[in-house]
Amino acid sequence: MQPLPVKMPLPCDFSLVAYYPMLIFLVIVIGLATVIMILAHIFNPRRITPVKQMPYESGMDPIGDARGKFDVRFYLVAILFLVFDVELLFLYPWAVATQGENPVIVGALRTIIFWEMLVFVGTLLLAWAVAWRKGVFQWR
Amino acid sequence: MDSARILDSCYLALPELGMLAAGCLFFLLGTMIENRRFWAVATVIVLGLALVFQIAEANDPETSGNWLLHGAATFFRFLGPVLGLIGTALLAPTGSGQARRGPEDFACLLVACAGVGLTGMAPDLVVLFLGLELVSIPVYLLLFLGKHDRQGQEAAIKYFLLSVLSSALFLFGASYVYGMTGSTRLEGLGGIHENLRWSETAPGEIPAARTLALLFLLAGVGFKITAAPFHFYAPDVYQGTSPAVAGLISTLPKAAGLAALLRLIGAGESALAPFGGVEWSLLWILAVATMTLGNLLALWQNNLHRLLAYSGIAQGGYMLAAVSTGGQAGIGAMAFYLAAYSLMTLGVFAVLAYLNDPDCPVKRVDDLAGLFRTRPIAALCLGVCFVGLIGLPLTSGFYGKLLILKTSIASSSSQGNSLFLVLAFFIVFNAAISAWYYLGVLTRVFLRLPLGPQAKPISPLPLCAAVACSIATLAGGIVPGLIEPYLRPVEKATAQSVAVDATVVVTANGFAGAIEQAPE
Repeated sequence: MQPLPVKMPLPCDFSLVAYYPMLIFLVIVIGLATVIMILAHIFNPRRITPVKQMPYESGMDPIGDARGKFDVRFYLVAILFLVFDVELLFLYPWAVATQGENPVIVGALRTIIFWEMLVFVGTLLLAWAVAWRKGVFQWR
Repeated sequence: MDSARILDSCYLALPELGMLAAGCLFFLLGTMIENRRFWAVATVIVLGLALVFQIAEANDPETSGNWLLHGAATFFRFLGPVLGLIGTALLAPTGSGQARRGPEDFACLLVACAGVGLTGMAPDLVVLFLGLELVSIPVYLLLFLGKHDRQGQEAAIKYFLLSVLSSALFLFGASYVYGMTGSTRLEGLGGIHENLRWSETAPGEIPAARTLALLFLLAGVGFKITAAPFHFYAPDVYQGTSPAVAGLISTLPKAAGLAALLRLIGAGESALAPFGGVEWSLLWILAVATMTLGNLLALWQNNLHRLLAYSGIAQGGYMLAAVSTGGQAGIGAMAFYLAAYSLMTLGVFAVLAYLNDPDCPVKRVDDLAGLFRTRPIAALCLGVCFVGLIGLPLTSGFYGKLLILKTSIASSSSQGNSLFLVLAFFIVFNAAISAWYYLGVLTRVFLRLPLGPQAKPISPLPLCAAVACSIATLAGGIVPGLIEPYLRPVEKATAQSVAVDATVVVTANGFAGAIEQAPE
């Protein structure tokens, strides 16, 4: 049998030398930040008032402790939301890559990838159905 | 692109895909039917069908010579469902202390078995990662669903966090390979070294980035094998869960990790690719450290699960030693030893699952005292499995250790490297250490009197599994010739090019290609 004629992305010429400017940039950024913080620490006037000591909450007076308890049910909904959110994120590049003008994905491969994506979505739907049956969406 | 060929490739991975689909279905329908016995029977049917299909496929002349489907891949694709069948017997008893109900356990088991097979046949780093995750994620669920006490929670969260970390390390290494070579294909990393352009190096020179990538890949895989610097989680996790789940964790992820390791070093190709000096010595160090540390720490253990965890770490070291000898014979020895180890360890855990009575739990080694007087069959099974783990004659453990020793001595003479003689010495030395704690358990089982009230088994199923494991252990030691012919294809596989891809790969490569070629 012959290997599948999948077209590979070409290996690019990679060289660490090309990244030296990045390193210099990194050193400057960290150095500048450190120097500014040290300067501010040395030269700042210290006039402490109770208002200045308050935690900053967008200009509002803070209500209660920041470390409040959250109901665990929020996390279940959040996780489910995340699953479908990420799925949607993948659907766009998938649609552009397979249905757009692409020299790699042509003909029958396009059909197969379409059905494969449907299987993927179907699997997620299954997970959603399980969550529904398990009563994740009921606010008990 | 030939669409028929892609469908063919789906067909060739049918046992794994079937197990995955069945697992999904179990999750969904399990919300409606909660009868545990029904789902256990369904699991056995699915696993049996997968095995039958794989036997048919292994004998299919049309696919012979394809190293993706034959050689080491066949071995792991068989091993997954076989371990799954034994695992089903361990998981099946109801009302064993914790409120286990519904089919979630069995669904997890099916997915993990599919993961082992898929890892074994992965042609690509992406599929390899997918296979490893298919083993890891069900294990998170099994750990979480099992027990809700403090130790159980600790085990679940510890395994989850560390496993996620190891996956991240693996992915990081994989990203290096892709970044440096522009491909995720797995014609062995040695193959990657040979065939693909690692930029800015003279031919024959190994770039530092490749060593770094391998280091990360090995760290990710080492976690699954519980190799020495990545073993810390094992005792706590085993201790915090039920014997059935501990038995599965000590076998399935280890099999998947070793399968991934074989894929990474390019086993199954015509000749083992030159893996490069640094990496082989890395494997050597990993093997020696793993078995020595595991055995020495096991000497201090009083808790049975912790003892078995350290024993599992040490046994993983022997398998790594077999791989590190660097020949096809070493891989065959590893395969034999992995199968032997899995059956022996599952046998021990099956006995523990059989004795798993919430009223008088068997936790410490002393709790097994006098087992021979109260439950002779269970005690005999335990005896056979522990004797096998020591590596005494007439058990598969002995024959497996013999194979590993033979290969390491052979490669020391063929490669002229005395390090392999040192390796052989370490294996013998470690077997001697391990005899101490294994025999410690056996003296309590056979020579002591019962200390307190004895556990009342709920179901005879785990005992059946234990008997099956013991018989297999004895058979592998007395007539290894029965099994050895099946290891031949693991050792020698013909070098045909990869003809089959799972569709996943096609899509992944398609994506990569599409993104690569998208207009700026």
